[in-house]
Amino acid sequence: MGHFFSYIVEPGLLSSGPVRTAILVGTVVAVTSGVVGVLTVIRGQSFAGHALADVATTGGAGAFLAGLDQFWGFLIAGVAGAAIMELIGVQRRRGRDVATGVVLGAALGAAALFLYLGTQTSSTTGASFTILFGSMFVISPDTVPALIASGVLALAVIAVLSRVLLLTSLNPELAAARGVPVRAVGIAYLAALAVAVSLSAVVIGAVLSTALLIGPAATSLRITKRPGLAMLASALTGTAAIWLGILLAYDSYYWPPHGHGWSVSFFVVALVVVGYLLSFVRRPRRRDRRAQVAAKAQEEAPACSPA
Amino acid sequence: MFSGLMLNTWIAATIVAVIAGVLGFFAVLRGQSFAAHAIPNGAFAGAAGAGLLGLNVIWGLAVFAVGGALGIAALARRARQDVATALMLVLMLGTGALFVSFSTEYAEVTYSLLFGEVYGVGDNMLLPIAALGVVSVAVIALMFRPLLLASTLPEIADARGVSTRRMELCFLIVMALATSMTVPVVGALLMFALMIGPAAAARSFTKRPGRAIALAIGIALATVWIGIAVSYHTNWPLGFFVGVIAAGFFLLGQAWSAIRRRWSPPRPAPAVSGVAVTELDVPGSSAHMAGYAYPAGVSRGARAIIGCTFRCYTPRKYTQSGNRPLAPGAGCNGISGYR
Repeated sequence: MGHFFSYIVEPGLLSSGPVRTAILVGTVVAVTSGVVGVLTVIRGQSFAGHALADVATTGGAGAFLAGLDQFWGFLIAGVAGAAIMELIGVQRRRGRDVATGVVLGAALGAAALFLYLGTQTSSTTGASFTILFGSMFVISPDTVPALIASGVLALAVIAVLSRVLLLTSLNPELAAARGVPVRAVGIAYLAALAVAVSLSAVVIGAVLSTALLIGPAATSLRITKRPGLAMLASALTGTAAIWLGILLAYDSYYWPPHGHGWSVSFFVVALVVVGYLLSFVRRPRRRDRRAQVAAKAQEEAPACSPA
Repeated sequence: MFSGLMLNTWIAATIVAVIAGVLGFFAVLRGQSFAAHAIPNGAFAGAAGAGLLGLNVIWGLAVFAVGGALGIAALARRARQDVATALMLVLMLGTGALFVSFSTEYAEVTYSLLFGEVYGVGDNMLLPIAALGVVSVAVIALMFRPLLLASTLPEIADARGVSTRRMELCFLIVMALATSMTVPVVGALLMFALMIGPAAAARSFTKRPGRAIALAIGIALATVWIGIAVSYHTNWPLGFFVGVIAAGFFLLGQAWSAIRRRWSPPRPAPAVSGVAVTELDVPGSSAHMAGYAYPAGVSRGARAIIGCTFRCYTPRKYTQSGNRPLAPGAGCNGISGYR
């Protein structure tokens, strides 16, 4: 049995420092993204989530240029991007995706400039790749406390605002009538989203952080309609995807092509998407059963009217 | 500035701007900015894969762009559109990350595909780009009116026998094909900025579809031309200038509509404010014949678009049948009856 286990988990996985950091930070990220992601899917703001990740890329590139740690660049640019989107009309459902798109376009242009200037001033060209696609195994241990703290902060914001957020997500008019400051709540939510996204940008890369944000949340919302349960399921799904992804990436050093590991980001994304597709498999059967029950009920009481 | 390879750059950028203006108008109208971002961006994975296999980059781009479009359309049938788009995008990007990590020259390849190689357009690239540009604009022109109807009033399009699903699929595939040709030139990120910014700006200047498309093309051309000129002199990447100038045009458009909203005298309230849109649509109904009787929430621009599509989609014999009023609540039946 022990031999079999060591065949699946390559020896030395849990004793390697970078892997331990990756697992710790990955879990924080998966939980934060999972919880924030459920609200993102309910609010229909996947595009904003993805755009904030790309805006964060700009910050990462700028931080690289300024010699700061990437995470601060991600965070500052993400929160600033969220504020600008809110300012130019992301709160209106009609103009929302255009406002998001315009901010995204401008930010990407700036990213192009920063990366270009970065390659001019230093000889390393790998920076753009790390910023865009991330690398979980090169997180510096110094930033870990900051990563965890900001994850907890985002979760706290969501926890405090959860009821109000759900109300404004599902029925903004009703929320406004009840005296909820819809716009302020929206800004707080976008800030939490920016934090979650910059966290996962560090871990699996700005471009792929959307996977952790949307994938587990969409999967869990297909399984259950209850928001609290969905948040729990989504956090668990995301964590599972991260852990399995790390495991597979660690093992993949022994896969072809030899001497070259597959990227963690790929495994995490693939697992998340497979999980989402699996949630479709269960669906029709359940609906059939429900339809059968309904048909049966109708047969038994044909003339009975609900009134 | 206009010699040798630079001339190729100007020509290629001009063609790309025209394609982006036309496709961008519909992307903005349909609220599919996310798909406009996802398809070019995800297609980059195909380029990385083709590079790994030693194939021509174009084939990789085409396969992944069209595959992504089909995937978005297929998933969107069963889930929310933005979720479907997000997941297709990350799937393609994750695959791209894998491909890129296998290749040895990854950083340069990634950078050039995401941000473009507009200053290295060879003579052999111009003809395919031009041909594809003509094809995609022609396809959009062919399906212009049904696409417009399906984009503005999907339920009514369905009721009239225009399949919104098929329209969406066609539109996404055209976008994918155009993308696969333009991404090597201007890059995935630039293509997106050029599609959304100018089209969104154009829509705040005019609400008429034809004029808005023309204006979107014009703004896209101005954006890319100014961008190339400035980029040529400063030596900074074109993507930066295009992104910033497009955003500037968008803000200009926002300011223009804000000014017009403030200064224009308040319009009299519509005579019949509670009419359902389904009823308006029914040709011959009193609400439809009386052009002013749109619901209060329908803006003038939406009315122009609705009117434009109806004129084409209403068979003549029905528009001339007089003001036949509908029974209350008969909207849906009325539509299918008139099909």
